Amino acid sequence: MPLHSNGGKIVDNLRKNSLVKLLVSYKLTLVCLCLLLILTFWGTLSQVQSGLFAAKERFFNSWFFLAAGFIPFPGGRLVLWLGFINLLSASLFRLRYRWSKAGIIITHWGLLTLLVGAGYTFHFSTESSLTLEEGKGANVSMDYHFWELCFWTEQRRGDSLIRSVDAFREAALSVGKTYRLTETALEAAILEFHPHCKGDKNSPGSSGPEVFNAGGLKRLMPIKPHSDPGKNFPGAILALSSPGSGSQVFRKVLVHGGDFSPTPVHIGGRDVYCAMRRVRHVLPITLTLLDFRKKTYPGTNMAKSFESRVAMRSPDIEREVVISMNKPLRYNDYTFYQSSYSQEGKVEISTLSVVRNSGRLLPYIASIIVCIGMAWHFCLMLFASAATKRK
Amino acid sequence: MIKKIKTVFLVWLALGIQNCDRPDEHRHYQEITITKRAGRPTGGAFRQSPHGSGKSGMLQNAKGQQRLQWATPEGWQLQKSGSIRTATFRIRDSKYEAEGAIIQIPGDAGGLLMNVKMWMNQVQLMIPPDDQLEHWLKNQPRFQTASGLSTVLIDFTHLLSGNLVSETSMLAAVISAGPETVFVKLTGDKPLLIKNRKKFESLCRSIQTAVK
Repeated sequence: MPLHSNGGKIVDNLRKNSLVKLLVSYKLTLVCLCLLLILTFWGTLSQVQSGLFAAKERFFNSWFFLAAGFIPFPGGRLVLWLGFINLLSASLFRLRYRWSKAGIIITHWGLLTLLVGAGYTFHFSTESSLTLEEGKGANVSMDYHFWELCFWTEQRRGDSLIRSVDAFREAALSVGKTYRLTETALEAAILEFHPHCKGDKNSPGSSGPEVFNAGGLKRLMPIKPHSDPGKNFPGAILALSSPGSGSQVFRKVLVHGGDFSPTPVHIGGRDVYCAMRRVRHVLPITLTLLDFRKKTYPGTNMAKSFESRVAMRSPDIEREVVISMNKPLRYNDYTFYQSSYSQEGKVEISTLSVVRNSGRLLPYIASIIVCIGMAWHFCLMLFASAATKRK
Repeated sequence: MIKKIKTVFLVWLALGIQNCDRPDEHRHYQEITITKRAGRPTGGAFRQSPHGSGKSGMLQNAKGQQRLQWATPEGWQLQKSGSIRTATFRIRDSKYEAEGAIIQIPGDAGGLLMNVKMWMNQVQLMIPPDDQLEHWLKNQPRFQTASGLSTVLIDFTHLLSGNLVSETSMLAAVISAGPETVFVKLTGDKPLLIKNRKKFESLCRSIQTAVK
């Protein structure tokens, strides 16, 4: 195989290519490491003022950002991608594949696996929370940060409330877009949209006085984003209509992330609920909180441990499990951690942290590979040194 | 040649980076909230029929959802169920055994494809790509139960397991019961499943719901 042959024509030609030389260079490695150092330091200081989430988004999750308002500076995502390409190129084109270099080669591939794991986790993992009162259950968890515009109809079956939801990501919303609702065959056109806003009950806005909202809001006022992401609420004003009806509008609805309840619109003999709410992640199981227990240190009110006894239910799993601190529940790619609790009167409420990460084993595998590589290299060096001394 | 490789590599990289984390713009899903504070689920009130003499079974789900009625096939033993299963059956002969279950789940419980993949994993079957699996599922028998509920019957017994030593297989049926989905499963030794396939189908066809 050409990659493993020093005489391979393709590899030799590629090694001479100026782009490959740049990608493989140690200078690029040093630049990436320096930028990571700067970003880590800067981001850590910045989070004091702007908050953890905003600092993370600006310094580590972005491709680039504007320093001092006008100077483009590479963000963590760009730097890590460059670092990954640099390491991959070095592994393919610079490393000489010989047994004497096996330890270094294995270590390189271990580091690549670590970066792949980090990238996979970043792009494909989700974190959310599931809050349950004792006796209640759900099959969805709530995202911490992202929002979605939702429309649903409800059906009650015994103790279960079933919602058929059409959800549209807030990041994709823009004025003028029209969405077709699968469940109700209605269309929702966005008349106004603000990613950060507050609602006003007093006077109507530009969309007119006939705007309807369950909380009595009449207009939306855009505001600057707050450093605490929990205080930023998006809002939108929609025109609900039936497809093909031309300009006939059933209702103008205002939805705001701070609404306490969804806004119901009665159409076609049933209620369609509209809301701007945190993204819901559908779980493969339904969890019902059977009992929550809090243990305190003797003689104090300080919590020693929390545990939630839950019933997990799916077509293939039916059992009761206990989720406690340091003993999470793992099911397929999901891990449920006991996160916190609260109490409303006599009702105890448990909050579970839900992480979905199908690449969670990659960092462990990468660490093992790096350890093997380093051990191999050190052993080789040791034997070589011993052999030299003997001579 | 080198330029072509370079161009393809850069385009691939750019597309990969661009599309890495684009979440779905539009999703449609079912959200289930169990709202009544019913306390710890008990086994539920149920009547055990004698050893599969073909008499009907009826069970009220512990959470007071739809009542189900069915005709237990001859030779099948209806067992005491746990807190979540609606019914459990046991079948035995001199050499083989199998266990059946009826389970009611609010909503679509993740959909047919997801559940079929889970079941194939359980009986160590190789899971084909989604488009092939969907094509195979379209060819599975479909019928309506006694109360007009649409049912798809999935027979894994004629598929080769990845583990040739194991003879375990599964018969499954997915019944759409309005806002609920009823799963009927029979898992066990393949020869016994093949022998009881018609009885399994008759059990599925006999399932009726009665709204509380």
